[in-house]
Amino acid sequence: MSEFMAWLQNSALGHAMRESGVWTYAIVNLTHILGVATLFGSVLVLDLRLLGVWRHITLAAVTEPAIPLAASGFFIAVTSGVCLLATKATDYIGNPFLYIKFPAIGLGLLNVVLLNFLPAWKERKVRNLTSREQLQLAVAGGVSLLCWLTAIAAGRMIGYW
Amino acid sequence: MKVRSNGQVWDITLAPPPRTEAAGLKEGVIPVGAQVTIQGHRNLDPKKFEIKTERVIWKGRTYNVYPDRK
Repeated sequence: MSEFMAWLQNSALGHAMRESGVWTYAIVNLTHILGVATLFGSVLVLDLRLLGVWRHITLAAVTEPAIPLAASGFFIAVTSGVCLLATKATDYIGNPFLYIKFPAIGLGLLNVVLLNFLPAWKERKVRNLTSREQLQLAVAGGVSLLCWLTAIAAGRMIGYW
Repeated sequence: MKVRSNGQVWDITLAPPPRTEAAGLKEGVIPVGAQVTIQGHRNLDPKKFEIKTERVIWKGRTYNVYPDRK
C-alpha cells in the first residue's frame, strides 16, 4: 500500500498535479465532484425505480438515459480521483475512510456485473417482468444505493481525518 | 513548507495555493535552509507541531497570506 502510494506520488501524474499551477487541484477537484454528481444522480433515479418507485414509467425508459450517464460519471470520477490521490498519495496511508471507500466502490461495481447476468435485467426491454424478477432487481437496486452512498460518504470524510 | 526551531520540525500550513502565490510566496522564492519568522496560530493539540500561517517574514520581506487578519 505505502509503496504504491509513494510510486503514485512520484509518478509524472503526481508531479504534474503539484507543479502545473495553483488552480490545478481545485479544477480537478471540481471535475471529480461533477463526475460523482453525474454518477450518483443517475444511479439514484435508477435504483429508486428498481426499488419500486415510479412503477408507471417502464424500466427500459429509465435505464436508457441513466446507464450512459452513470458510466460517464464513473469514468470522470475515477480519472479525476486518481489525479487527486496522486497529488499527495502518501498522506492518505492509514486513512480509515480510504479503506471504506474503495471496497464500497468495488462492491458497487461487482453489483453491476451481477445485475448484468440476471435474466430479468436482460429481458427488461422485451417483456414485462414477474414479481419475483422485480424483487431480484429491487435487491440489486438497494445494494447499489448502499454501496454508492457509503463510497461518497467515506470519500467526503477522507479530508477530515 | 517545514521549519526547524530548537531542533523541532514544524509543519507550516500556508493559505490555499492561489492566495499564497498572490502574496508573492511562490515555490523556490525562499531558499531551503533560510532563516524565517512565521506568524500564525499553532495547532490546538500541543503534541502537534503545526502552525496555520498568517505571515512569513524572510530577509525583512513579509509575505502576508492573510492581509485581512491582524
